[in-house]
Amino acid sequence: MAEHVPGGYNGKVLRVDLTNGKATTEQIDDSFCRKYLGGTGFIAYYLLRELKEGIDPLGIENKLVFAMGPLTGLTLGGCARHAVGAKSPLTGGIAKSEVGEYWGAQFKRAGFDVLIIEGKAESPVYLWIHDGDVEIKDAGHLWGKSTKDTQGIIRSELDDNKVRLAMIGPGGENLVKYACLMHGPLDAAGRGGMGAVMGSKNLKAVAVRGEKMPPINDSDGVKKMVKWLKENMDLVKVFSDFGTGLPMPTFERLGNLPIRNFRDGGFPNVDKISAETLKNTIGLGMEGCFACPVRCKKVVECKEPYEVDRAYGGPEYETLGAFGSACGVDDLVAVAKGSELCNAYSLDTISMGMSIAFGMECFENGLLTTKDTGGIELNFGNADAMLKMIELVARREGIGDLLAEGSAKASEKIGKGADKFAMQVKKLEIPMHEPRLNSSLGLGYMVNPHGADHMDSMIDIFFSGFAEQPNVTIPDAIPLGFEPAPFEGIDPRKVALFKVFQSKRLIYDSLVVCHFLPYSYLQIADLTAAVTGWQTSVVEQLRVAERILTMCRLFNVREGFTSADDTLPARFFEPTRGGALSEKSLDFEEMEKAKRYYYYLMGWSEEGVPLKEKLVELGIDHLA
Amino acid sequence: MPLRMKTNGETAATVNGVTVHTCIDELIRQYPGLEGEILDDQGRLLVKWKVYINRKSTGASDELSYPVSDGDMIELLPVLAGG
Repeated sequence: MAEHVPGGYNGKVLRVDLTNGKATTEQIDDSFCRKYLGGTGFIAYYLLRELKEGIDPLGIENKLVFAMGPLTGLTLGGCARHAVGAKSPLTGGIAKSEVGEYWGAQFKRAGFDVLIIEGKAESPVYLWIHDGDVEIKDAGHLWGKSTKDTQGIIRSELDDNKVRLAMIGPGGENLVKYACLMHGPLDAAGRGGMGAVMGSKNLKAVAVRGEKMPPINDSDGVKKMVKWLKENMDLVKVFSDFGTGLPMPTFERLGNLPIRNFRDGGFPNVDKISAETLKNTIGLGMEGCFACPVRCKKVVECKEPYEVDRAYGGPEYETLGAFGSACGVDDLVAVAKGSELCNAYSLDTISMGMSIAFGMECFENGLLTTKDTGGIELNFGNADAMLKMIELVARREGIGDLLAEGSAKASEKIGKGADKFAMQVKKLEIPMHEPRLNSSLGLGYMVNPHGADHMDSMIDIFFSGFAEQPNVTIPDAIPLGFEPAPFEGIDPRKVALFKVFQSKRLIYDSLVVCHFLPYSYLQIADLTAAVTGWQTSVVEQLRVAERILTMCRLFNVREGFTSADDTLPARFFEPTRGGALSEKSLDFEEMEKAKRYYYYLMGWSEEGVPLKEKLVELGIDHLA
Repeated sequence: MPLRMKTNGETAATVNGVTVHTCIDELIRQYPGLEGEILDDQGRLLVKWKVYINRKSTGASDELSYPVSDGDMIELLPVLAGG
């Protein structure tokens, strides 16, 4: 008798062993789907269950998991997304990254929920997955090509312009530790080095095409959400017009914008690199993901002083910050060029920008010289130098080979106290939001299992009217009984708010839904029920989030991570040099106390190890 | 906090005024619960709002002083930030 498959799922996992060139399929059933949901949940399950402790992330034993969720591929805004995960070559812990575009919708229509890549091909290949079938095709002629060229050639070979590609450029091929996995030339599964894992397997691309979505339980429930979103598009209109980065001048004024490797406060030329300036100068319009009316992706084109190809899209906020203020650069075209290069070479813009910023601060302090940089004056503000670094990193040439390891490893190799300039947690470079201003975000950076991640953390100023209200309030957590917390400091109320917010983000990352859509906890639970047919609720979803976070924690504990890794660089316990935070910093003891309270709320020990009782409670003791 | 929670669920109002600022003042007179939700105590626009006139952003550095004409639609849209 066939196992019941809930609505929104195909019930099938596709496993491809590149060593022996074989593909197999497995079934997943209702109880599995309900327990682990999809996306990040599936990734955590497969990595925890199937990877042995201590394997080399760039070795043959690592597995690269592409996981859809029950909402992936729905014709509803924000449902174009899927998640990608593996053991990270950058952090050594669990990594997962979400991405939109059209790939996930096509993969779901090709008949599968999960793709697990194992082993290593003898020579470069790409996969062609279509309508239930998979072929392994030669990619020798594609190796070395940019993502845009790769897409063009594969579409031509397959004679189908609607094929969607997950692919790497030279950055992934050269095993840059923070190489990302591009989906099309515009959209990145950015963090944690998933592109390097793919490159280590000699896998250039995964091409997908499909026609048939799995059935859903209650299409009226989905239509209700489509209607609600249409009636509430004003909540996301600024995304549609500006993409991300509109509040950059406000961020600079408040102290949220990282300036010169998080060292300085004050960037008077912030308006030159803001999203509003981009729209009014080099912006050509906006594009979007499958079936999403928000269309938040910038399209840009420039000729001088750098030529920027519109095919690679324009810089999001994180990129505007990472190649802009974090490197001291106020040249918008240079920032757009940096974004283009990273998309062409498949490099995470956050880690790339922050690794360059690290290099700049080392150079300024004499820890690197022109002898190390091949004559390049790697100073803050030098846009040319910034762009040259990206080229060198992608090819692992000269100093690029050092910076390709990430700022933490690079600092170890440089020595001489360079570690104090590496702004990273668990070796993942810190994104473009300042923890000294946002204590809950600081906690999130500390405890998120994949390293410093702003998307799975609560950024305090977003929930206090940009610090214009005295409290942090998450409106849709109020029906769940969560109290507002004071903006200043990080008392237990704020830790509890962080945990419930982090859980919501994990649910999104498992269903998989875009964080930019303003769906509430209650709406997301109702939507899940409509699609799957489960009588589910927010309560169940919060429990699933706890389970997934605990599984990620278990993976990291097994890899040797301890509570000592849940910490921030020393810089954040001192004020910035000038600017809004010149007299403000985090308090180490307060953050440690908050961390221990978070462990307690999660059912983990004082050292951050999940208690056996918690594993039994969550039904995952068999995975420990 | 969504503004409609302070306006008995109403999402639109008709007001008189010659600038964005005077229109907002009139709106707050109609819905006193909006006090402190749009302007700060010095009459400045809270940074979480972006002013749109007739579905377009003003492009003005001083959005409150932007002139409006009869029939104009003023929208206050939340400034989202993103990742």
